[in-house]
Amino acid sequence: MTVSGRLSSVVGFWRNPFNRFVMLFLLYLGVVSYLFPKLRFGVPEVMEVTSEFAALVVYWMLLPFSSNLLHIDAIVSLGNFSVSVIDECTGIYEILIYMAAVFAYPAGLRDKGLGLLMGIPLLYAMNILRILMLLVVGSLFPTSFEFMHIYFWQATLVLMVSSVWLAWVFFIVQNGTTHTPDHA
Amino acid sequence: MARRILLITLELVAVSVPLTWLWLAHLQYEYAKFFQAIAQPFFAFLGMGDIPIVFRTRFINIVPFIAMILVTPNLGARRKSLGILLGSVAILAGHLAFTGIAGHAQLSMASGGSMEDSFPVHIAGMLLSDSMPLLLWLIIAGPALAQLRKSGPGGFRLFPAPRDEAPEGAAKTPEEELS
Repeated sequence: MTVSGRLSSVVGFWRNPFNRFVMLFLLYLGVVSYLFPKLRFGVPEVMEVTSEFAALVVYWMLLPFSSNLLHIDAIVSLGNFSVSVIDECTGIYEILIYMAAVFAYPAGLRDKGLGLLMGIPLLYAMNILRILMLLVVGSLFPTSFEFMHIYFWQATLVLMVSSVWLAWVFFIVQNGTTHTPDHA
Repeated sequence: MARRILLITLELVAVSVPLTWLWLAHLQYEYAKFFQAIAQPFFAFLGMGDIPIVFRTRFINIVPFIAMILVTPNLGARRKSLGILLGSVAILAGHLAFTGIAGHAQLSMASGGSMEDSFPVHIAGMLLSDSMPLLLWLIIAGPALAQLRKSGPGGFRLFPAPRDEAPEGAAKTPEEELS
């Protein structure tokens, strides 16, 4: 194959929006993998505060339903059962994957901004619900905790990210392109 | 649409809960044995025989992948089975890659490297491994997803048509009309 032939096949590959999405998604995953540790080690307080805040939100949400609650730093206890909110439990990795998927998708800046504004709080809320549910299950049904922990960790991680990302594509990006823009 | 989304969500739960149970009760152990058996010669072949081979709980990511493929509407049985087969092989490759990346980071830390230096590599492997099911699902189920919601002149497409391929039924641009 000649140089120009190779070049045109590369251009053809890049022109396909799906191929471009996959390439950019992987690139952005690489970028966040590089940047996130800078934040993690440069300003360790950020992740500490994030973990403690997640534990505090869970505590606040359960407070109206139980007096047997305790909250110390990133640890919440319900009865005799405690959970410690570590980096991985804060939802940060789900959010990083989601951000990479939003940035890689062929959409306008406004839609991407909306995607982040809508998706990050939604993923965060889902994650808080996950911790809350695990705390309740661990307290009431300790033998089921291990199963639920694994199910609501890896098994639902992809489902959470995929559903929020698809909802963004369906209801924000695609809705925008099918509507006739209001031009003066 | 809302009813359909609710049904798909319920289906996902109905499929993923027993699959997770099956994985934890039986399949994980079998897969770990299989993984150990192929990882050792694989890394030895690549000249990385000293890589510590650790089976990780996060390798359960094959479960959401299978669940997502199974509940995707409008996806034919042949594409589902082939997709699960080829996707599982790709996920296994992802697990091998993650083991290599994490093992390399572990070795560099053991030989005096700082955690700060090896952490980005570890995170990259982790994010890649965690997002594999999403990417594979998009590749396999992409055409079926396009039929989930039809709207607009050319119907819904998850991804826009490549620049040299106009969507079916889409209005032509004035330049295309002339050519």
